[in-house]
Amino acid sequence: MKKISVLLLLSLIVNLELIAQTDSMATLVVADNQEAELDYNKGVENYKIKSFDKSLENFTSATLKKSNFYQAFYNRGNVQSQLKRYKEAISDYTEVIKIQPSYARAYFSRGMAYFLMKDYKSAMDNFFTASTLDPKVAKYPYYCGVANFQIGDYKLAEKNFTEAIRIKNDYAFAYNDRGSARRNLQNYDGAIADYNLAIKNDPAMAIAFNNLGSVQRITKDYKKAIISYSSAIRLNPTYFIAYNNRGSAYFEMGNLIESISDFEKAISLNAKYAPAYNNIGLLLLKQKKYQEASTQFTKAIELDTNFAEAYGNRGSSKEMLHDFDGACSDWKKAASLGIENADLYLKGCEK
Amino acid sequence: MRILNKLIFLTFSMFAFFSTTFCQERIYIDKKEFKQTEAGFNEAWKNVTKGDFLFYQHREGSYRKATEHYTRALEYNSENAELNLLTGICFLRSWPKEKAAKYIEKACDLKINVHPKAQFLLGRAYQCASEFNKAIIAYNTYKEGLSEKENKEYGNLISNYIEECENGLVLKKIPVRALIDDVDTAINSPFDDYNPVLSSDGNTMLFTSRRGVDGDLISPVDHKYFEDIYSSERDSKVWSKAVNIGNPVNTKWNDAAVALSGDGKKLIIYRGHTEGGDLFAATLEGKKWGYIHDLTNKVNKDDSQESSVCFNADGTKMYFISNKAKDSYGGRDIYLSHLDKKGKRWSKAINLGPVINSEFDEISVYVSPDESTIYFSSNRPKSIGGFDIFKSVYKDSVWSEPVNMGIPINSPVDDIYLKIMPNGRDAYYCSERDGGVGDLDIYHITLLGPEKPLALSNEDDLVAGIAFPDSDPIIDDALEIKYTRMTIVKGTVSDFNTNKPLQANVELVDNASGKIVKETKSDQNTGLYSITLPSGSNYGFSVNADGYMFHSENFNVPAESGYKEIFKDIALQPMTAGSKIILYNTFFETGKSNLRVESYSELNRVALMFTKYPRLVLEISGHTDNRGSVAANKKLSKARADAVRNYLLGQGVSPTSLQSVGYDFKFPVADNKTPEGRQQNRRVEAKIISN
Repeated sequence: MKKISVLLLLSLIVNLELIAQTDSMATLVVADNQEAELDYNKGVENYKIKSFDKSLENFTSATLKKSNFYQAFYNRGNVQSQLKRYKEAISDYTEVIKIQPSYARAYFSRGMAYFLMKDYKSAMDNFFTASTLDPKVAKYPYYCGVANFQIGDYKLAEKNFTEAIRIKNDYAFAYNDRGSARRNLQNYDGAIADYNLAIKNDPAMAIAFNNLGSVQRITKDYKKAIISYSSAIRLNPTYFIAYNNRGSAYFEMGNLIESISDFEKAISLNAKYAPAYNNIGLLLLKQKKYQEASTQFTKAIELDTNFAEAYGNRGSSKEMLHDFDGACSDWKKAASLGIENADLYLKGCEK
Repeated sequence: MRILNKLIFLTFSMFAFFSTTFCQERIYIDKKEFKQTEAGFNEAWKNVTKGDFLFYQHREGSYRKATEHYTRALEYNSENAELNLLTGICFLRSWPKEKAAKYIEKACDLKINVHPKAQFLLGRAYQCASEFNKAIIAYNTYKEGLSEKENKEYGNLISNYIEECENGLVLKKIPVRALIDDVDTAINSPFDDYNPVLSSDGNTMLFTSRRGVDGDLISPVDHKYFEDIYSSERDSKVWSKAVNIGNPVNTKWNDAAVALSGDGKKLIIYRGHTEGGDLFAATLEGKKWGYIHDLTNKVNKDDSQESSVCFNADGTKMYFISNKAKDSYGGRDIYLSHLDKKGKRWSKAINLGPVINSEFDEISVYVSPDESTIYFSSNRPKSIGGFDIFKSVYKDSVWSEPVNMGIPINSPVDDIYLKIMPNGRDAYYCSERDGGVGDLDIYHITLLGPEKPLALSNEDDLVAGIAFPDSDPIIDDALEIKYTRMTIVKGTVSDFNTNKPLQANVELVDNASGKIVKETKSDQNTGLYSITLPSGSNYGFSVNADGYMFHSENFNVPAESGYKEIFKDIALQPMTAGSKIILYNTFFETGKSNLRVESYSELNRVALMFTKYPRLVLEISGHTDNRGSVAANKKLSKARADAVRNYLLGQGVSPTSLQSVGYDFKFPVADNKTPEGRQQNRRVEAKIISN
């Protein structure tokens, strides 16, 4: 192996004359057998400046020069993930695991790739292995919880979040998510306690305030819900979801003026936010303005063609407009999209 | 069946109450009190007089006409209490009853004792306007003012009205899901239009109407035109203009539609001018109704009225209304008759029993095709006013307790003659409510089925890990690269004598290993060269070109050495006598003449010269610095020259080609005062003697 004649200048200045005049500047020669590492480092640099294609080339080149270069495979996997090429990423992480079977981060990253592909079961398996290999990292059981939450196993998710909190007792995300698991288990008191702990550990966590508000709304404590949503909005003034939710709390309290104001604000923040159009439609439906309501539901459906509730509600407005065929058509669509209580909508449509 | 009869039954108690009330206690409008200005007074008073004339006929038809005169008189003086009261009463007894409250309320406001029964009338008016709370207050106010005798006589009636209002309050809170629409002006008229009967496909409607034109016969009972049957056809969703189906079905007396067979070819009619009112059947012949025959004496009784019929799906059972006095539970009841197996004779009618029939009137009946549900109108206590539609389910051979069909199907005025179409969603009935064309009108009901949830749509960021995903992977850091520091030697190679640039091989030898670690060539045009010397070693540096003596240098580059550039211009001496070179890479042990192994590379290059130039004769001379005696230095310099000569001899160089000489410090090349100078002076040179 020849000596590498590459001059690495440890200064941005590459003028040889200047270097020659400055003894403190060292000119270095890369030692032997480090071409792969050099490519790898270039890959890291390119990754940091988000030049992902070049980064990918660098890491590929590194792996070709050193077939057991697991860091290069790992980082290439990360680049693939960034480029949303999750299958390729999984392949790279798998290669890492072959070379370095105890590399917990590779399992975690592979889990994330599966997670982003919505393969929550595989994701959970990988997160779990990562947490077994490195039990001190709270993020690993936390993401086990996230995956289990997505699977719908809220009890297991609750357990995972508890484990994450045991490792890192100020883990605001884990408190928030455990609150959500408990909410879905209809343990509303537990959920409220957890959301409050999330807020205690991260007072700027707008989503925890929003979630707290939603549990309070579910339990019909609308006044408290409105306070919580308002806190979320104060922390994140562009939080259109919280506006829409606060509007719903006002709606359920019968305060239609505040309700419409919040729904409209949500739309002003996100003109493509279909739920707010649906809710304005409901408000109009309640005011017996059936045609206007139908128009709002149609807007919601245009934005989200799988919006079951908007179809259901539009059907109800059409019904009141004597368009029974149109109503049934919408209700059938809503049922096909999995709306709750589909039977209620379909009753009478078979005639 | 006739509406006039209906009215007699449905409001019999009230009518009696009113009759006694208002026959005995006339409401006088004081002419002087009424008069305000001359202008318009005569015309207004004429209207008062005409109104009074019609009012005191106490007929529904005349009340309605009276309202027209009274309201004209009110244009002249709207602040007369009695006139307002009379107008209100007229509305209360004709149509729309909902308007009565406005006038009676004003009458009471204008004159607190406008009439002894004003609070009762106000209660009725409020009830008809669905203002149940106000109605209850008015009824109670009235009731509290009754004498003991009056209370005995009217107390129950008032209590019934209060109960109706309480029912109304309950039902108002839980409205049923139904849309009520006035059918069409093509069907409804400003007169009574009622009892729609429809073909099973819902596209043919026959109904009864009391519309008429001047000259038509008017019933003396209620001062309305006699009943006739009309028909209309529906094309798509539009009903055609209703037409009188004419003779022989319609006569100058009461002829009312009761039921229509599923195929639309057999019409059951009611004729009220014979035997107190009985049922007949008419058959459609082509496009005309004819061949009328009665429904046997098992159904039609001499001493009773039979009306409102509903057949079961196969036509073998007939449910109908009759006021058969003997087995009635009170007023009109619902009966059932079976057709015999031959399909010719109807059985004796059976009363449906006390669950369905009450001590009040049950009028109009409709039974679902599977006979599991019966719908009928009744003014029983569960009503909210007038006749309401009730529903009962037949299960386990028992009819369930009838339930009020609720608001908005029922209203505080009469709601009767419900017919539900086979699709279960569309229905027709008639109602006296405000909002139609006039009097009783036919309405379409859309039964909407169960309440659909109003689905608010909300989202939450339930999972922080999804709201803020860890999708930006933490990449492994850059690895540490091992570097070596270096010195650059650069300069030109030229001919010693001519200064012309030369292309020469520049070699770097690790003196410790004797290996060439780097090689380069100087540029043939410029003579420029550059070569790097990694740190941490001692290097022999030599420049060779054909026809020239090589040139050597020694560079010691410590590992910790900083960057350094050494500029070295080298002039190669030609292979001619007198040319000499310093063998910088020839090393001896300190103060001794023993060659160190690091010297071999350089000396091998010298030996190579003899291979290339066999006739070459070299003088190898040793030189020292000036420290020590001349003799000692002489000896050392000669010994070192000999050591070199001996090494070369060992490499196969001929002894005759080599001379060795010691020059001690006779020929210094640098200043002996400095260590560096002395270092340079300690050297071995090779000079060409001949070639």
